[in-house]
Amino acid sequence: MSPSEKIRPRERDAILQSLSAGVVPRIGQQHIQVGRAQEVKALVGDIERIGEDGSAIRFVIGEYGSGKTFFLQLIRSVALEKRLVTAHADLTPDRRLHATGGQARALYAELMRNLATRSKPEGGAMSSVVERFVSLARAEAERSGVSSELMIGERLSSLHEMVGGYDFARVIAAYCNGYESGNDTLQSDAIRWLRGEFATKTDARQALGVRTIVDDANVYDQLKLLARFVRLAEYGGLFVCLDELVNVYKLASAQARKSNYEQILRILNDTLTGGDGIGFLLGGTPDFLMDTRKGLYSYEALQSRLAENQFAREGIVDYSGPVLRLANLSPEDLFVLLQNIRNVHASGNPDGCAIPDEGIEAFMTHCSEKVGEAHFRTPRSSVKAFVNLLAVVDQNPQIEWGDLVGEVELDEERNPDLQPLEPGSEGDSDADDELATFRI
Amino acid sequence: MGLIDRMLGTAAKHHDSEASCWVPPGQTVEIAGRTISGGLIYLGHELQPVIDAYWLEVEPALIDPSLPVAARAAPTPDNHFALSYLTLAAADRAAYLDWLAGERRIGDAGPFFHLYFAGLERRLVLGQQAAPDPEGEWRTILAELNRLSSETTESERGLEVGIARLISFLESLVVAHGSTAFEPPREKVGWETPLVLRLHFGRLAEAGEPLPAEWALSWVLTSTESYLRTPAERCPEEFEQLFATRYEERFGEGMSLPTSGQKVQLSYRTANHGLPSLSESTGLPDVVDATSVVEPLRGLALSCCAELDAYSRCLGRSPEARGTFQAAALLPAPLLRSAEFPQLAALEALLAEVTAGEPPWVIDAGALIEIWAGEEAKLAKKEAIAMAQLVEKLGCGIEPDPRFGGPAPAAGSPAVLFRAGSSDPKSPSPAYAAASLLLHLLAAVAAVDGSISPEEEEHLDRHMEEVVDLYEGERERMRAHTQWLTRSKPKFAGLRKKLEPLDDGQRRSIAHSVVAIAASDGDVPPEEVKVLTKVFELLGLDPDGVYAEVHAVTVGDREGEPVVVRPGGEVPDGHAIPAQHRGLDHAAVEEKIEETALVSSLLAEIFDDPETAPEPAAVGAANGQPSEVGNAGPTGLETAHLDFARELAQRASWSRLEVEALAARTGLLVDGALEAVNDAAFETCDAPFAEGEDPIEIDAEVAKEMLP
Repeated sequence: MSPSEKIRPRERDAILQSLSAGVVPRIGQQHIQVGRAQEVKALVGDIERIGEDGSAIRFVIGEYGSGKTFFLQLIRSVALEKRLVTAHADLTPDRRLHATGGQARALYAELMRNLATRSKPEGGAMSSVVERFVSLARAEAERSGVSSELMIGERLSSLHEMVGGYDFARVIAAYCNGYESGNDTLQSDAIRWLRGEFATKTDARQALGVRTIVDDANVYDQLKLLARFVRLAEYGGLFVCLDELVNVYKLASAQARKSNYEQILRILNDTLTGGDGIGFLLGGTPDFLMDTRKGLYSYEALQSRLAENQFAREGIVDYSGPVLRLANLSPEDLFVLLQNIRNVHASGNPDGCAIPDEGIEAFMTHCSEKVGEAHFRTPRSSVKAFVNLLAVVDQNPQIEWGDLVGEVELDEERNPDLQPLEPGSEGDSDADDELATFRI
Repeated sequence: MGLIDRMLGTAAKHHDSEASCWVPPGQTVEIAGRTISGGLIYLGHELQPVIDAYWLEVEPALIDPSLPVAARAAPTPDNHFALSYLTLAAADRAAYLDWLAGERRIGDAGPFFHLYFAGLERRLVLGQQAAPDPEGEWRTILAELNRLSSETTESERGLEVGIARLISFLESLVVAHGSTAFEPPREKVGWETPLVLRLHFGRLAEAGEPLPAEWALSWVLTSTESYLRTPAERCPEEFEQLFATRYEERFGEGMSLPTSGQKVQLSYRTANHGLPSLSESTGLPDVVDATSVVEPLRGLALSCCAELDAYSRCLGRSPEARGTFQAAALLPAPLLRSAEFPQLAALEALLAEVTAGEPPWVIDAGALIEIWAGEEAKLAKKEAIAMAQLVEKLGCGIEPDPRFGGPAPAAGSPAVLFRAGSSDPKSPSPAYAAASLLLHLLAAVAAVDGSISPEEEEHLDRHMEEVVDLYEGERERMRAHTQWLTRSKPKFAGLRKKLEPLDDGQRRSIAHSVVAIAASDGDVPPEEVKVLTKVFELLGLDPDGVYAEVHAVTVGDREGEPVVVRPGGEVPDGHAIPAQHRGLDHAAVEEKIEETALVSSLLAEIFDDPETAPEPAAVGAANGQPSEVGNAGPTGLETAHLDFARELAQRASWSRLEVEALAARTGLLVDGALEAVNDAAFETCDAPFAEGEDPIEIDAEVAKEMLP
C-alpha cells in the first residue's frame, strides 16, 4: 500500500475497531494486507473467471493464526470490488454443509444474512439484490412497452430449468407483487424465504403459495440458483466463503464427516467441470486437509483431486491447484503489517503517524521478549496491543511512545482447536446423531 | 457483605489508610479553597493501590491536598484521559476539584469522570471491610452511579455502558450470593449479556425448572445473540405481549434448559488501574449462549418481529397512526382482540350476522368498506389488502381479494364471504392462479351473449370442483370466487377490445394454456370443446384450431412430431389389456400449470378493472414528466435514479423510512435504487454514495463529484 492512498474515515474506524477487538475487519482489508502477492493474484484470476460465467474453488490451508480468515475476507472484498455478490459464514457444529437436523439450512441462513454487495459490504444485501433485479426488469419493461410482471416472468424463466427454479422464481415474483400492491407482509415473507428462514413447508405454502423451502437437502441447489439469479440482476456472480472447515474434521460421527465431504466433492466436481458464475473459497487447517483418518484426505475421491502437484515442493509453488497454502507471517511481514496499521491509524497521512519505525521495532522486540516466537506465528494479540498503543499515544501527546512500549500487556493466545471439548457440545450431539439412526 | 473480599484476597493490608482517606457522603472537606460537601472521594497523603506494580505507587483516585492546584481551571482541559490525580496538571486539578464542589454533572466532567469513577470503584471493592455500615454505603454508591447514568446523553454512551457494567456486576454478586428478589433485566448493557440473566438461567437449569416467559423475554431483550429487529424497538409493548402469547403457545409452562456447559463466571474488568480485575466462578451452568437456548428463542423472537412488521412499518411511516383502527388492524390476531375499537365490534357483528345464514354469504361490499374507511366508496388496492387481512383475522375470507388477483371491492358491487382459518393461504398457489384464469375466460365466454345462464353457471361450478391440486383452504376460496364471478356481472363487453393489442404469438400462447388447463384433469369432454371453441373465437383465432390443440395436449404435446403408435422391436405375442384409466401425472400437471404463469400475468392485466388498474409501472414517470429511459445522464444513471440521488444529496443523513418514502415518490424500489446509485458512485468516484442501514448517510464529497 502506498502511504499516500486515501483511507475513508468509515474504513479506518472499522479496521481499527475490529483489530482492537481481535477480529478480522470486514471492510478495508486491502489497506493492511501484507505480501502474499502470488496467492492474491491466483484468486483474482478465479474471481475474473467467475465474472465471465466460469467457476472456481480453492482451499485456503494454514495453521492457526496464519491469517486464513483475514485472507478470506480480503479476497471477498476483491470479489465485491469486481461486482460479485459474496456470502460468507463460519462452519460450526450447528452449521454444516450436510445435515439432516437443520444444520445445513442454518449454514445457508447464515450465508444469506451475510450476503454482501459492493455497496453493502457488511451484509444484509438480500433485498438490495432482489430489488436491483426488479428495478432492471421494470426499466426494461418500460422500454419495450410490456407490463413489468411479464418482463420479470420472462427474465426469470431461465431459472426454471434448474432444480427448485420454479419456486425460486415464484418467490421473486411474489416480492414484486407485494411491492406493486403495497403488501408489506408478502414482501417480507419473500425475503424470509430467500434467506432460508422458513422452517416448514406448510408455512411457506401458506404465505407464498410455494411447495418447497430451503432445507438441508437443497442448500447447494439454492446457492446455484442464487448464483444464476445474481447474474440476472447484472452482478458478476456469486462468491461463497466458508471458514473454519476444521469443524467438519472435528465431527465425532464418521458418517456425518463423510456426508459433509461428499457435499464438498459435489461442489468440487461441479466447479471444476463446468461454470455457472459461482465460486467457493474454503478455509481450513492442515489437519483438516491432510489427516488421512478424519480429514479431507480420508475421503479417497477428494484426496486424488486435491493431492498437490508432485513437482511443487521446497519453495516451488503451484498456484493453479485447488489448494493454496498460507505460510505464517515472518517477523518482516509483521513489521510491514504494523507499519500499515499505523498508516491506517493516521488515515494515510505519513506526517500524522504516532510512532516512528524504531517504535515499531521496539514494540516487536518487547513482544517477542514477553511471549516469544508465538508472537509472529499468531499475531492477533500483538496487533491488538499495537492498535491500543497507537490510541494511547495519539490521545496523550505528552507521553513518549518509548515510555509505553515497555508496559504493553499481551493476552495469552490459545488455539481453540486444541482446547478440550466441553461436555454437551458438538462431540456429544454427534454421538446422539448416530444413536438416533438406530432408534426404532 | 464481603462479597468481593474473596476475589481480592489481599484487602486486609489496606485497611488502615482505607478508613482514614475515605470521605463519606455528607462530610464536608476543604481542598485548595474549594468546599466539597458531597463526599465519596479519597483524600489524604498516602494510599496504596491494591495491585502491586512498580509503575504505580499511589492510588490513582487519591486527592493529595499537598499537590499544587491552580487558582483557576483551564478553559479546556489539557488531558483527554485522566489516568490519576497525581499526574494531572495544576490547572486540571483545579477543574476536577471545581467539578467535585459543584453538582457533579456527568456532562461537565470531561476527562475527570474517570478519576471519580475509579474512586467509587475502589470503595465498592474495599469498603466492605472498612466501612462502619457497609450495606448502607453500598446503597449510597449504587444510587450515585444510577444518578450519573441517568444523566448521560447520546455522546456519553461509553460512560453509560461503563457504569452499567459495574452496576450489573454488583447486582450479579448479590444474586449469586443468595438473593432471589430481583427482576428480569430488560435493557441491554453494552455488548454483554447481563450477568444476572446468566445466573438465573443457570439456577433454573440446575433445578431442572422450565424457563418462565418473562425470563425468556428478558433473554430476547438483553442477549447479544437475539438479533432483534426494528419492530421490537418501535412497538415494544406489542412485541412483549405477542412474544408472551407465542411463547406460551409453543412451550406451555416454559422450555427446558440444558444442564451442562461451562460454569457462569462473574467477572469485571476494573476501570481503576490500581485495582485488579475481579472474577469469581459460580457452580451454575452457563447456558444462555447454548444453541438449544439461542435457536428457539431467537427464532420465536424473529417470527414475532415478522408478525409485527406491517404494523411497525405503518407506525414508522406515520407515527400519528398509533391508536387508529387502520393501524390496529395490522396487528397479529392475538393482539387485535385486546384492542377495543367500535369498528372492530361492528365488523364482527356484521360477519356474525351474515355467516349465520346459509352460504353463499353474499353482501354488498359497501357495508364492509363503510366500517373500514367510513364514507369512501372505493378502496385502493393496498387498503383492500389490509381490510382482507383484518377480516381474515376474524375468521373470514373475502372475494374479491387483490392478493389473489381480484380487484379491490367497491361499494355497490357484491362481495362473497367464506370461512377461513388463520392457516389458509395468503398468496395464490400456481394451481389456483391457473384455475381462476380459466374460470375468468369461461365466464367471459359465457357472458359473451350478455348474461350468464343457469346452465353456464352450473358448468362453471362443475369445472371449479374438478380443479385438481388446490391447497387446503383454496377450494373454499375458489367456490366463493366463482360465486362472486357469476354475481358481479363482469363487464366483458370491452374484452375483445382489450385483447386487440396482443400479437399473434401471445394469443396463441393464451389459447394453448387454456387448452392445457382444460385438459389438466385428463379429459376434454365435448361441452368443454365447445367452450374452448368460443375462447378461440374470442381470441380472434381460427376456431378449428381447437381440435389440433386439444389433440396435441392430450397426447403429450410433442409439437409436430409423429405420434408413436407402437414402439419398435419385437411384436409382443397376443394383445395387451388396455389401461383402464390413464392416471394423473402430477408432475405433468404441475408443468402445464407453470407454463401458464406468464400467460396468467398477461391476462390478469387484461381482466383488471380499468378503474382499479395499478399505475403503469412507471420508472421515472412519477413526476408527471415522461421518463427518459435509455437517455442516461453522465453517470450512467437513469433520470429517476438521478432525481433520487439529487434529492438524497440535500442532506447528510436520512432515516430509512424517509428514504423509503422518497423512493416511493419517485416510483423506485428503495434498496434497488440505493444499489444503482452506489454502483454509479463506485464507477465515477470509487466510493459509495450512501452508507448504513438506518440512518442512511450520504457522502457529500461523492455527491458533489457525481452530481455536478
